[in-house]
Amino acid sequence: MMLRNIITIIAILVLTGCQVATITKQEAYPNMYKDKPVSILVVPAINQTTAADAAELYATTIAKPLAEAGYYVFSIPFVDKFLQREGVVDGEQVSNVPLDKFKDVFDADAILFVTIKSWDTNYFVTGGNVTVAAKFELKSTVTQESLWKYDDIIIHNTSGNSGNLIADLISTAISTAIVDYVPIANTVNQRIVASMPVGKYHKRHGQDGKDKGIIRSKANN
Amino acid sequence: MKLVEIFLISMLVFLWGCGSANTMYHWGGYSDSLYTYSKEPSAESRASHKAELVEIIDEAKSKKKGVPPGIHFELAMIEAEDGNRSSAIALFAEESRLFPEAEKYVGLALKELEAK
Repeated sequence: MMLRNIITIIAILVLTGCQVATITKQEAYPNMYKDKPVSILVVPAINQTTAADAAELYATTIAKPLAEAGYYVFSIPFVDKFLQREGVVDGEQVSNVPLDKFKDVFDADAILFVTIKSWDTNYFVTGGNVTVAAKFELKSTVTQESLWKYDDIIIHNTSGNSGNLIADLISTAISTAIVDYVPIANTVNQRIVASMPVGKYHKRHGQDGKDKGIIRSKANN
Repeated sequence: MKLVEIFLISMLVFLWGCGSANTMYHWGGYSDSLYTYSKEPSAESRASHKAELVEIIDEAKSKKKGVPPGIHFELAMIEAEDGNRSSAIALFAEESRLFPEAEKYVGLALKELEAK
């Protein structure tokens, strides 16, 4: 009986953790299902933070979640070189490039714009975290319309959690001193892209419209 | 006992859905080597990123996974810079074969290669 109760409580916790007043992917991103983009071109991020690395970390970790979501992603180093030749060196200047130019040159269906709003490393006595706030928006090169957007704050825990205070103090001190930000950027991108309806190369393409879990306020900002 | 089984199965389903490590492509250490190369471009970091790209293509097959979009293209660009035209052309062609969406910019890259 005891075990049964514990299981029920855990099950409730697990289930409620995944259901916070949400809407479906179809409700949140109808244009995505109409436009059906196949290829995504990632432009340099607009970095509003003091973390000089943030834009680079984003650029080197974003291809993976987008490709895994079933999209063709144009080689980011090549796109960067192309933009540099066009006189675009940072995210702020990308807005000067008309979207159809990306259609003409690359045959890209959609462009992913990102603004990194904050990237803070926090230290506590017994722990630490990296807090990242970012706004993602995918725009169609055909209709110029917004296809998908997501505005989120992600807290990535960097502290040790063995339950032993001394051990945690030491491991926190070590891990925050030499934080490897690549896996953190990976996690952030992965979690945000998870809200995007999947593309052509994904086995659930066209079948995820009824998937719940999109937090309305994060999708409509 | 039955309840426990149901619970365990639903836990598995839940964990699978929320944090699956099962990827469609083989990525190796792509993000790490690309990050190191973009942050500190040097002959060394370039060579290790190139080696990583070669390894991804080699290992994908044995892991029964796809080579991610852009990998053949990126390696082709490096080969082109190194003056290895024929291998660059073959890699560009492979990118287009795997992903027809790449055709237009592969054409652009090939044009640049010819102009060299």
